[in-house]
Amino acid sequence: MNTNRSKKCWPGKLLMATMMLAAGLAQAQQHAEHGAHQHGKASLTFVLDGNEAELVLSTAAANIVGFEHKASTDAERQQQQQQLEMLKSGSWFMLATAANCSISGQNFREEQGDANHADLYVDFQILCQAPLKLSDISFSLFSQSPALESLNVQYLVNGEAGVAELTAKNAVLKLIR
Amino acid sequence: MLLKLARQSLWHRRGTVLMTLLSLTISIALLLGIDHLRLEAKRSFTSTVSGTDLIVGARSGQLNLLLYSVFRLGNATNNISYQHYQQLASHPQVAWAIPMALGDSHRGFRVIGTNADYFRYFRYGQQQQLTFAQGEAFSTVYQVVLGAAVAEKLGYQLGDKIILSHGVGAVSFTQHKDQPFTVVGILAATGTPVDQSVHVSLESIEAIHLGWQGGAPGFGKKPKLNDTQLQQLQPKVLTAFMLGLKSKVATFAIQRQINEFKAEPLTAILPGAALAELWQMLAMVENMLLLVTLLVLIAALIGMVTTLLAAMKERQREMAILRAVGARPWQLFCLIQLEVFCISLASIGSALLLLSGTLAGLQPLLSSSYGLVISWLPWHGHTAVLLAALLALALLLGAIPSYLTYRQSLAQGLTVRL
Repeated sequence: MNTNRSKKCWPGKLLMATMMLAAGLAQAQQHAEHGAHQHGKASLTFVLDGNEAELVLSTAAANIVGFEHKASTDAERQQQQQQLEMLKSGSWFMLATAANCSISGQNFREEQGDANHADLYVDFQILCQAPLKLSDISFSLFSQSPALESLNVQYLVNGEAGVAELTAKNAVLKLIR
Repeated sequence: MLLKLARQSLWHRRGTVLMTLLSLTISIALLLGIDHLRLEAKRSFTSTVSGTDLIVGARSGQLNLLLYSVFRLGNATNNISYQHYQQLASHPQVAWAIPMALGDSHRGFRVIGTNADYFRYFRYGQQQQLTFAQGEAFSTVYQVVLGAAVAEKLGYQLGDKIILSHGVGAVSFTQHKDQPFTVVGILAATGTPVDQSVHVSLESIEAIHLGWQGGAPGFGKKPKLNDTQLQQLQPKVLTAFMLGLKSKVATFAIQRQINEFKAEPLTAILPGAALAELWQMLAMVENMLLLVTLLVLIAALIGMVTTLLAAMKERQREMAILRAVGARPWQLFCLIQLEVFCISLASIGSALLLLSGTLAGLQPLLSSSYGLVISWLPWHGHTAVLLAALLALALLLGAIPSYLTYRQSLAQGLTVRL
């Protein structure tokens, strides 16, 4: 999903790589996952296969809301409310109109890491009537969430994978044709 | 008429023209060659992973995982447990899974421990399946299937016995001497790293390392296994595995689930996206290289103009005679431009020949040492445009001597200065 996921889990496994099969038998134990939590950067995946598509954004809450602590004043609560509504509505991205796409489903999840860190996940299931005409996706998220500086994108369009980094100045994802 | 004049005039000055031609040929071949290699290397890499949706290995960077698991470059950061592989392979969204255990080699070629699913599900290029040139897949321990290049380079036939070495160097001091393998199959050439690989079953990998302690052979005599014991061998660890999914839409969701797998820190990558990231990183180097070649080409073109300009003095008489027999100034302009055109066209022709010849000659080396299959035909969709632009540039620069000739032929007329 993203390349800069933290690698500091399970320190016991940080032994030098040995290619020897006798070494390093994995034990079935749980370890805590710490996803990359970067302010200013968010990651997005987009996949299109046939006429089905899915777009997923995962980001530190600060990128969208402006802060990550529990909203304490009315102003903060209102701001949080507004920004989350915007995120859930899907008004922050726009698929090329020629492809005639519509959102068919949406999931939203908020994970409070600790008192001062939270992550947001939102995913949209999309149906396109003319998927071959889906030439680009433009993002207005940068103006709607000024704290967001860049968006790391990985996409898979009919088997063709690619990566892109979007910013406020370059907010259109061009898909390979 | 003009063409004949141009041709014969060039022939008359063949010494300098030949040198110009040579320098242009080399620089055009360089430009086309770099462009071709860049695109072919990308195509070759992409075709290797075209059929795989996800590659899963121990937690590491996505490029590292891609390079060691598919292209046999570099080493794994860690192993992963066979039990978790089985768990993920039985995920409802997973159509097929191919396990890979790396770490041994045979005379410089890497050994992959895998199972029969490798031959059944691995796809390369345009969804092509692996086929056997001779023999069949391994069915039990101590059997080996060779990639096309391995069999060819080492001259192996079906039924030959080979010894695997521990580690991945070309020369290994630890050999699994007591356990020879029999060649049971040779794969048809694919133009991917599969050609460079030696395939055995996971159980074989387990068998040759039995009794080892801490990555070295244990002291004392190794226990000789009987057939039943061999059948009961269970693989415990893997280096990586490839996944094919039932629905591509689930790709990122499955990737996320694997990356958040609690029992073991794993990394799942989309091979295409990892490659795209690699190209993005290399784009800068690529552009620098193209820029340098472009400059070399421009230098060669300027060299051509210089030779033409230098020749103008000695050709004053020639031009004067042409004027005397009725050639108009614009015809002299065209004559020089025609010469430029002829030189450029001839250089392009010989550059293409030189490049194709070199590529055809280098092909076996590239494919055996880098696993890259480069087509010998350096032609792509945009090559025609590139060459047309080159011709236009040559004519533009050639306009300088042409224009000067035109001017002088007007000014000097027939005055013969002694």
